[in-house]
Amino acid sequence: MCVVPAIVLVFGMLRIYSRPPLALTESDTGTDFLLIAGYVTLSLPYMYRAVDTGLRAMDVRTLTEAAQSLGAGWPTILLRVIIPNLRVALLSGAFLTFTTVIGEFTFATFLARPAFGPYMGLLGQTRAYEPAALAIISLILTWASVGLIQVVGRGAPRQGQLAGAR
Amino acid sequence: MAFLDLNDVRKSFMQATAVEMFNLKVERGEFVSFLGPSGCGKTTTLRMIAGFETPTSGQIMIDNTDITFKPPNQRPVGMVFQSYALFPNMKVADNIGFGLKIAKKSKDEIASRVEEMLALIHMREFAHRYPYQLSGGQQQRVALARALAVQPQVLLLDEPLSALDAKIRVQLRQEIRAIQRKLGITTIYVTHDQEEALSLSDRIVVMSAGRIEQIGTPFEIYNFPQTPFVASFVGTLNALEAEVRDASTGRIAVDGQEIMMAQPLSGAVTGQKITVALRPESISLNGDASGANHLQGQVEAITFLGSIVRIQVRLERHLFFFDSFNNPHLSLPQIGQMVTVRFPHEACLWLSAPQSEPAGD
Ligand SMILES: Nc1ncnc2c1ncn2[C@@H]1O[C@H](COP(=O)(O)OP(=O)(O)OP(=O)(O)O)[C@@H](O)[C@H]1O
Ligand SMILES: [Mg+2]
Repeated sequence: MCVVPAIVLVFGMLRIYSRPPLALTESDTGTDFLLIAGYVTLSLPYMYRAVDTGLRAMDVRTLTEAAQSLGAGWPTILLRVIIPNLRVALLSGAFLTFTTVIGEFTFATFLARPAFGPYMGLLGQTRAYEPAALAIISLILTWASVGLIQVVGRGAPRQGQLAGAR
Repeated sequence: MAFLDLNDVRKSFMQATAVEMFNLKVERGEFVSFLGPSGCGKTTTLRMIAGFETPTSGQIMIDNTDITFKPPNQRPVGMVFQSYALFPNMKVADNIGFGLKIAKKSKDEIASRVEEMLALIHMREFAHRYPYQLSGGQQQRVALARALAVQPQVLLLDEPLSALDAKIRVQLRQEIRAIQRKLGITTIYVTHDQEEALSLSDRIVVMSAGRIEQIGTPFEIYNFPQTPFVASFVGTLNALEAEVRDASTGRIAVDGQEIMMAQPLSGAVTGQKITVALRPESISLNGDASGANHLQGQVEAITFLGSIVRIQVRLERHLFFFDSFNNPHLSLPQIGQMVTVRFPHEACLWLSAPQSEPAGD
């Protein structure tokens, strides 16, 4: 989904941010920041997709106008009308992001952060049984978040009627 | 001064002009419809009153306050949309109470007002449903209640019934009118359905291509159309080409058969070709013969429409139709039979410009 492969991106980051004026890799916080930036890039398409679908599913323009004619200003419209109706889309985007990021290896390894991916790799090289346990845990985590998307989607008033359909 | 006053309002998008020279004065409590074909600028005008569009020039006043450049959320205006536009995340009661909550009314006040509005639309038992659990007609009633809950000074409705089926449409339009009368709220109602406009309105604004064609009561609009457009758009009619025989007495001939107009044809000359309109409901087979016009022709088709029967008659060149009320004892002519139809002089309207389009639906 990402146009620039993660490996290219991370090497680019390392080249730019390992020297002044922005030597972010010098500190842990700086590297964490780079990791987050990388993951944001990585998950942007998923999030965009989800929000886009959510926005298409409702008539934003008319709902906004209806709220305006009832006296609402922009903050109220955003908080009380748009975002509540995007709840499902936002959450499913978040869970998708979570499932992509949890198994991510490239960024975490090259930025040398103790993330789940490299940890699994490390254990795989040195231990016999633990990697299997970790693999199962990660599988459960991923499936749990996919399941959560379903549950959250079902709770939304709009999709209530479609709960049975997959 | 009028309660709602549109003064020389004009709106153009890029090069195209959507509304031009719009002048309208609406009295307090009046129910005014905008009627016209698709694209004539009805919605654009309504949206300028609501504040969703800014006029290119002109002025809009409500109760002597200039609101031309006020943002929509500061106007004393309620709006009902064709697509209902209920907030899907809120229950019926919360939808109705939305505007009150924004106005920072107390909880008790909101609750009692919502209760009142639910009673007004006869939907007390639906307070705790979500919009998707309601029928289209019910959703539109909730949308109406939501717009009225904040007690706007002007209510705007943009084709509120066109997404509903015919039966509900008639029922709900009566309900809207009853509620409007009860609250005495000044209302602008946009529609392209002439029956809706004629049956509901105190006054109708007939529009075409961004301009007002005529403003008048339904009675005036229907019986005394002032432009050819109004005559052909409102109601159904027969447009017939005629030749002027005597302009000073209003004598004309259709396919060689002479008939009289109610008024002299001022400005016309003998021999000139003009277009006249005949309302199908004012023509009859056995009407009173004295002092009336008559035309002779051959029955070409008979269409049964339920309460009325529409009969098509061919003159030499022209074809026209007329309606008879249906009853079990009605004796209909045979197809191919020669008949003589009668109509009063004033049933014949002069459409000054020849009509390029045939009569409306
Ligand atoms: N935002 C816009 N940008 C450009 N042109 C527009 C815009 N809104 C409306 N128009 C044009 O203005 C004209 C009037 O449009 P309007 O929506 O007022 O028509 P209407 O009378 O409501 O028609 P309908 O019965 O189909 O709803 C149309 O020619 C339309 O194309
Ligand atoms: Mg419109």
